[in-house]
Amino acid sequence: MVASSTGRYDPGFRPTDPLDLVPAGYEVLPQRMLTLTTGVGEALVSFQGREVDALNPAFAGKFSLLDGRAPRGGAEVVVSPGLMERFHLRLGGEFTTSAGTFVPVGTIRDAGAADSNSFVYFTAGQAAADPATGPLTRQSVSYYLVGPEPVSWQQIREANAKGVGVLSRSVVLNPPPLEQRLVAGSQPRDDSSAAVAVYATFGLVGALALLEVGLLAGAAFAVGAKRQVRELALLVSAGAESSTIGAVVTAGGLWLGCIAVALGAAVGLGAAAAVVLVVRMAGSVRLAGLHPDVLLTSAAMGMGLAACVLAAMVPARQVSRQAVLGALKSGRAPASKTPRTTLAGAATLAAAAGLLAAGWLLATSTTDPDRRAEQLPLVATLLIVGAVLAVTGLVMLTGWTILRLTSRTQWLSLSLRMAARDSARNRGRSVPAVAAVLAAATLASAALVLAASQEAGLRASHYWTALENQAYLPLTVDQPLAADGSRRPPVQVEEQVLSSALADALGTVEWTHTITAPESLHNCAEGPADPAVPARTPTSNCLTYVLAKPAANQCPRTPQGRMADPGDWRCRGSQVGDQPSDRAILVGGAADIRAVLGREPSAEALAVLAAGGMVVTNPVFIGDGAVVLQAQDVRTQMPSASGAPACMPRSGVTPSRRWCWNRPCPFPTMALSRRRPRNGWRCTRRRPACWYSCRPTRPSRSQTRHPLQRRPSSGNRICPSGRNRASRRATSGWPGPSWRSAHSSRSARQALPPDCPWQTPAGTMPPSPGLVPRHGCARRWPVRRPFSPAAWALSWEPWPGQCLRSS
Amino acid sequence: MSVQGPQQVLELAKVGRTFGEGATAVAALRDVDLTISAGEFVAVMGPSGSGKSSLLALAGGLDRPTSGAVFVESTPLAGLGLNELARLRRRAVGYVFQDFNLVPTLTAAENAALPLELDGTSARKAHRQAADALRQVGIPELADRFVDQMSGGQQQRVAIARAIVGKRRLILADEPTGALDSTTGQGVMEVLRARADAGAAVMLVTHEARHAAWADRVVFLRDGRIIDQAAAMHDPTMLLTQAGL
Repeated sequence: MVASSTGRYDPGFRPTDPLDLVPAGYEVLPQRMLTLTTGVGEALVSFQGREVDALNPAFAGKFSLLDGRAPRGGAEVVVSPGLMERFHLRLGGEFTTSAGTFVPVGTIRDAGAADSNSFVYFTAGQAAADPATGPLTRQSVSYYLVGPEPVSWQQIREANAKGVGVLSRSVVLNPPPLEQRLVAGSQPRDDSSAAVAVYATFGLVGALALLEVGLLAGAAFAVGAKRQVRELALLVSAGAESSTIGAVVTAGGLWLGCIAVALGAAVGLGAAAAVVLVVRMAGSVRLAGLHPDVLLTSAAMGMGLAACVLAAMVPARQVSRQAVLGALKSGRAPASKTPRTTLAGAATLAAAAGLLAAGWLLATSTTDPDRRAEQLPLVATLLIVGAVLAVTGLVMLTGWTILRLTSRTQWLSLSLRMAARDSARNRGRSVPAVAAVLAAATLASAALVLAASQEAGLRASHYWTALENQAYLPLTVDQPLAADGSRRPPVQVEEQVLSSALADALGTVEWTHTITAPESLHNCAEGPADPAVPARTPTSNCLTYVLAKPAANQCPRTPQGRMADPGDWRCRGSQVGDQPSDRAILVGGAADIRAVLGREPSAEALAVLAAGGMVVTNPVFIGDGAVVLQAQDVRTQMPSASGAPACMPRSGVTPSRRWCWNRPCPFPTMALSRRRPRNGWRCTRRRPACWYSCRPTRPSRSQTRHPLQRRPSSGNRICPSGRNRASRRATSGWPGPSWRSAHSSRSARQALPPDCPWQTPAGTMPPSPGLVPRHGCARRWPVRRPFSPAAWALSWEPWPGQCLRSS
Repeated sequence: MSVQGPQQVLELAKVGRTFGEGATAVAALRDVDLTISAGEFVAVMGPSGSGKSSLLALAGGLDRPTSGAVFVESTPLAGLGLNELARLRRRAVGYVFQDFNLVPTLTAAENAALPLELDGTSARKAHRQAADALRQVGIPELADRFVDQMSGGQQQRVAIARAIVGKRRLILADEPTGALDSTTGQGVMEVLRARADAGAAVMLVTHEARHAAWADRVVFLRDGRIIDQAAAMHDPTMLLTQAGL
């Protein structure tokens, strides 16, 4: 637990040895993680070793001996069951590793790791002297403290101040107040609105689900009450009052509800216990034992019971008011002729409409996200209650609706006519059925809409890993440590070999394609960065590459850190959320982009690639016609070790026409009406089923436009119908719905700084014939090895060279 | 003309009951005046559709007249709410239906004790009184049987036991022997007669003159009107002759 970290790299910081901070009276049980290898055939396979006194009584509950016995020194070790199975070992046999040859004499289970993991547990000193066990890092050694008192929050803060992280069970279970956990000067990220939104979403779905349960149960009770009507009429004739009749029916709901809830809870808990037992017996730690939540389970049971009772109350009330004589004679309660239910339904529906309208008005009453966040609970409540009331009102109006719909059925066929009239005559039977279906449809619709919205959000922020039915495999594989502790260069896998193996393994491989990506992180040394150690060596890489977002394109946020306008183009689109990983940065040409996109790219994209430009899937990364590819040293979390702005200049990236189509008007319904401004946007339909052009109506909103939109260029439009409007658009300062790549490419290229178009951290830069321009690089800088060919299956194109600064 | 007195248990004054509205309106009863005193056994006869069952339903508070007034033990039913009517039914009125109308989920004793339990009497006390009522109708051994474990005659006796349990002073029987054989029907009439002799006012709706002969007075209905009233005649055929039925 870290109490005082700002998250910023401090080169002058020197941590204290954790052992110096151990409070008096505590026993220290160290655990050291080791990286070991063993030979399997011609391959070296890595696995993990743990140097820990696992069978110390202090670890009771964490480690437990499954089979065999405790080691008695020498070469005897205990291992995980997964290691025994993986390497086909038997107790008492020998196991040769990079740290020596050992004899497993028992298997041990770690409560925090699945049995399938491959661990060897050493006793102290058994493997400590071996240099091949991997370097000591901050993460590789931990210390368990066994003492009379739990480690307190104050002790944690003191340890944190000296660079030592502490995890205390008691503090985790009873965390200190938030203000104590915040570092002075840090900006807390306010996720309250997101949490409320999540609660509101689940609240809506939960309320509708509960309503569905109530309506389904209500339908069952209503039908049951109808069948019971004669019996209830007998009670009335014998002198039963309305309350007694209601109690009889409601008691049915209570009785059945109790049985259902008790059975459901018992079956659920039993099933959960069985699953947990089976999973735990299988050695998995995915489920940490059976921990029933009594409070939540009781709440769920109470809600189910309440739903049953409430569901039974409605038919109980109806039956208690029925005409006794008719019920006694026919066993059917005559339908009520009073429009009370219909009127009540209409009133409920009106109230629901009012609540929903109030929620909508309240939600749209302000554009300030912080204010919206404050109003969100009230808005959510209004919308949820409104939705529930709307369903209730519709259910109450179902009888009237059926009656109206069946009043003109003489033109229907006999079967439909009979069915329609039967439903109208037996509304006591029809309404519950319709209500149940209505509730189910409402819940399903709400859930599907919410799921679709979430999926749309994920699609919008998606970054490529692989398309459906595709897999990518690295062609560069790190090697384990050698016996002398040295690190060997990664192995380059032959593309044909991997493709052939893949085809053999999967059976059906239609095609493979090799693409090139930046080198991923590997063998990056832990600890404070030593300026003398480069971020990249032939055997290691501590650099990650991301697309930098220009300051002008940063998603505007409120003082409280909320997104100012979720519809702002700078806050939307592919890879706009978290920084895209290096997997999202690929190098290649037309064939590669086709493989990555899974479809034919736009002509503009191909033109940009052919011109040596970079194509991005979101214009938010374009600033002044350039895209900046930024390298970051993960050891320091600093942009560039050289101090120079890491840049990969240029690459005018052209938003595709499709992007233009998809990003026209924030208000789709508004697009049909010409030039009616709303919320500062004016949308004009350009072509039927083609696109809409939208522009801000207020100059102060110019920041919300893409930079390319501010650049007039009447000669680059491709919209056929746009020609006659070219001059008007040019004078208005807006280029139109689409533009050619040449425009941005040319202007970007001209805007390159003459002396440093290729500054990158550590002097590296990734030129490429495709995505990154070669322009100037080959002539100015010596080309050496590539940017590092981290190969990513699908297809491969060798990286042509790496540019280093000559100075 | 009605005469109210302490002995009068049921009084119907100018009672009318019309079903439906407008062109489809049907007058089931028209200006019916009828008084039944304590200890009196009155049989109501008439052809189908003459309004016999409607008259009984009005008398028992199961239905409300469209005109006139109904008094049970001098209490005007028109002024009573649903719950007050229910209270009156379980305390003062016993109703015997042609098709028994027993609650199938209750035993014979529980069916008989139903009005008492509904009135708040403790279950044990109610069952004791129900057992006494079952003894009066001659089936004390059937107390623990459910409805589907009894014959029609036995079920009707249970229904009568339910009607007479407690201190009911008005017993209304709507063709209680209609679904029974003659021997069983004879037994039912004996029970009703005994109850009237014990001080209850009994109104019996029947088609059969031989059952009406058990009554102290016979009221004849036709087209919703009382066309005649006759004193008891021990020869049933005389009743039919007198009423012109």
